[in-house]
Amino acid sequence: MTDLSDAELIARLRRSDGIAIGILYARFATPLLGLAHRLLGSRDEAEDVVQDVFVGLPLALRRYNEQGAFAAWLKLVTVRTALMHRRSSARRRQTPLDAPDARGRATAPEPLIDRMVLEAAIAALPEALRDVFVLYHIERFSHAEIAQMLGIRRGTAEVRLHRAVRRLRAHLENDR
Amino acid sequence: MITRLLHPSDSALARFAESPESNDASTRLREHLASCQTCRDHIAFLRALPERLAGLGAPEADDTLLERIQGRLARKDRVILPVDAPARSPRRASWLVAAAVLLVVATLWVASSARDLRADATSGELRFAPEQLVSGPIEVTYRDVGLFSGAKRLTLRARFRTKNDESYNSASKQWSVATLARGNGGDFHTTLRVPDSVVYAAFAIESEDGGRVDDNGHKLWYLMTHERDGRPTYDAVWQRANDLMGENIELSMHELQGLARLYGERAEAWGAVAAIERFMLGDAHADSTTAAHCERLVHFESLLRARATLDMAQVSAIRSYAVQLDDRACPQAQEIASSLRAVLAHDTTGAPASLSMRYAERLKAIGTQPAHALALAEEFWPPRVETAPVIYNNGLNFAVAAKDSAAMLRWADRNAAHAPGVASGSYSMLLRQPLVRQAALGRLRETLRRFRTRQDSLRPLEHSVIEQVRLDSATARRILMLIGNALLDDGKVAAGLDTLNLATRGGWEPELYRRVAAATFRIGDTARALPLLARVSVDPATTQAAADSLARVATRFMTPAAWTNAQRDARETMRTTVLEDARLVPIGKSPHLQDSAGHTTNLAELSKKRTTVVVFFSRFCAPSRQELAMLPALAARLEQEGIRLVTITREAPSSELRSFVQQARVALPLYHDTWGEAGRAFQDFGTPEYFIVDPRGRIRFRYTALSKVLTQAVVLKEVEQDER
Repeated sequence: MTDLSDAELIARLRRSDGIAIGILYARFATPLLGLAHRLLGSRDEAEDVVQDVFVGLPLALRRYNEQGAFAAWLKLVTVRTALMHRRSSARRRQTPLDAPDARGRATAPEPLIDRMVLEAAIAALPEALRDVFVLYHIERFSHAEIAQMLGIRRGTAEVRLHRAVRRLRAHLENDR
Repeated sequence: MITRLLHPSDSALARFAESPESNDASTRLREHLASCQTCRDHIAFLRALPERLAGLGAPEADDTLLERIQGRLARKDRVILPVDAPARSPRRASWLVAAAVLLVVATLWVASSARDLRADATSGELRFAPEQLVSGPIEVTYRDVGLFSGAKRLTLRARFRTKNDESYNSASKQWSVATLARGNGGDFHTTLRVPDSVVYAAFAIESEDGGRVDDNGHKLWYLMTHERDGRPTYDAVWQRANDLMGENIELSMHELQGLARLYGERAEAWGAVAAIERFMLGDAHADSTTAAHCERLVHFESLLRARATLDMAQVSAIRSYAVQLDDRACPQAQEIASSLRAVLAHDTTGAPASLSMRYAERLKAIGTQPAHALALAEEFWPPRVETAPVIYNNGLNFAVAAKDSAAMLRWADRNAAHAPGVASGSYSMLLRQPLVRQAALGRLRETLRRFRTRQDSLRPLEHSVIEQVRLDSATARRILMLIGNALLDDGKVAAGLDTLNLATRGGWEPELYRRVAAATFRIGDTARALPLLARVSVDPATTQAAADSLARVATRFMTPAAWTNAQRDARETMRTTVLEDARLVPIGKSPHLQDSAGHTTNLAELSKKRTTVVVFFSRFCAPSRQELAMLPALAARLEQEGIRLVTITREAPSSELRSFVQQARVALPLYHDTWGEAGRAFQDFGTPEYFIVDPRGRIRFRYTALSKVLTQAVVLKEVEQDER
């Protein structure tokens, strides 16, 4: 059962097959949670987004035209849901960032504080810049995909990315 | 002529970082990288980024989340997901934050009204007779408005610029040039003589001990040389613009525009206008003026060709103008730039104007042979004004690339002598070079010693002695951190820890504490690290989530009660050190402002007797626009603390300004200093400028930085609350 292809999985999900949801969860929940967490900076909010994505999938799949990879489509929907979630949040946050999660994936050996510095630097980016930075450098979307996701021009996405990198670098490096 | 190279765009650098072997990487880009450490550093950062990001953690989805999902599905919760792409956002006012360092020469020739000093409570009047730089004596009169009560003598300090001085003031020196004595009428008088080589001079008045300064509200006072027809000289205007770089770029731009009007036959003035307008006003504005520039450029070039002999200074100026213009809108610009480049490169007259091009051509021919490039830089030493920026930058880089330890130290020493204020930058670069590491450490220690002694010539005119001491201390702390880390890396743990400990004394710098804590954690010294982490945790700019995270780290090594105590001590240190920079400057009558609908209000009404951050902003200033984007988040954060943020522009309400605000999506009310009352009350100069006002309407922090505003405002608010 766990060897279902994406196409077979999608067919089952459209019929709200509970087991298919579980398989989908096992395959995609962690990367989607990571993606939402990077954009929102809060585990709780990221989990809310992932819940919404999985709960809304059976209906959303009716509009999935099976062009392009399913995983990429799923990430796209997650990004849009996260951004929608952020816009509708009652209270604007400056730079919320959870602690490195003890249950997180094994990471390259790096001092805890240095990783915190890098994470805090990313979290300190303005939202518009952080979105593009996370989607490009961490989630490896292309400029065109990012532009489509965020509803901006491709040139704007590129400019924001460059500004994000400059700002991140200034944050991380010593003042001279 | 003073020039600086333009840097490639960030897009070009990013593409190069990803695939340097690509044929798309232009020759010009490669040439630039060969001589620009700044851009090479940026590329190195880009290339290292993927590995650094790979080390970041991420949360893992667990079974409880799946249970919640299944529970909602079982309850038939309905969620409509945003499957379709959102509508594209309206195009924002597009502008590029250029990395280019601009040639700026500006003259404030008319504006005698601007030179007339306001009889302001915080600024006196300084007058000169004659009101221009001359070979003979200049009578100086200063009328005090109470800043220097009881003083019998005052000091006139000055910064002099000759026609060959560089832009910005990192290499500038300031001097005490005269002593004014109080006369019977109460005014102070002296006679001044200025060297004939000086074309522009800026002045400030201070007490004899340097403890109190009148800098005319940061604007300083200034004199220039003039032509017989009454115009300020071209060189004087050029140097005024150079002097304003880093202080008020918008004013620099206006001066430069004026220069081009006054000296319309000078191509270099138009080139500087084109460059600075693109940087400050954005691509849309620059594109709208390209046609006029193009026509002018072609005219200059045709005049040049009509001459019997080519003047290399003109060739260089016209070429510099051509490279500022967009090739697509002005194809002639590329042709002219290329042909004039060849003329300069093959100049055999030895003209100074062709020096930088001849240097560039020879460097290109050398290719990637560092030893030969280093020899070339030595050949061009000492640099003339035309090549100075490039040579100073190149020499050290080539020495490092050539692994020539003697040359590394020689060039670092030259850089330090040229710009003592940024000497530590060159030496810290050498810390990474094993051959010269110990020598670089020694140089850093010497630099540190110099900071601890008063070097008055390096003190800017606007700074009192105490203010400069504080700034020098901040620089010294950073140098101490460099030295401390180097000692730790060398295994000298005790010395390294002591040095890092010194680095954290004085001032309030959470980023420094974070870095030092990381270093001390790495060697297992949690006792030193934890108090520093406590400081980071109590800083208002640290989010609650990050503070909680630090608490979780700290309580692995100490009890929660001990952590609470550490935070309490940190809070106390924060208050004490932050308030060291506080002043007490009454505003007087609350300045009137207009809102965007044209209704009149005043600052007191807007502040509502709360601590208030006042921001002066201009849509014509690129740095101001950049920081404007960060203000809504800052305002929201301040509001959580009960602190107001009031954003003020000198522009009156207009449809253009409304359109800009709409396109920039600035979700903040903007107030207009229509009558100039706020500008006079705060003595703002340049944008963006930040001030913090207490509930009683007194300015407590002036000309502070955006990075410090939140902490300063919160500390001030808490202190005010405690005092009630």
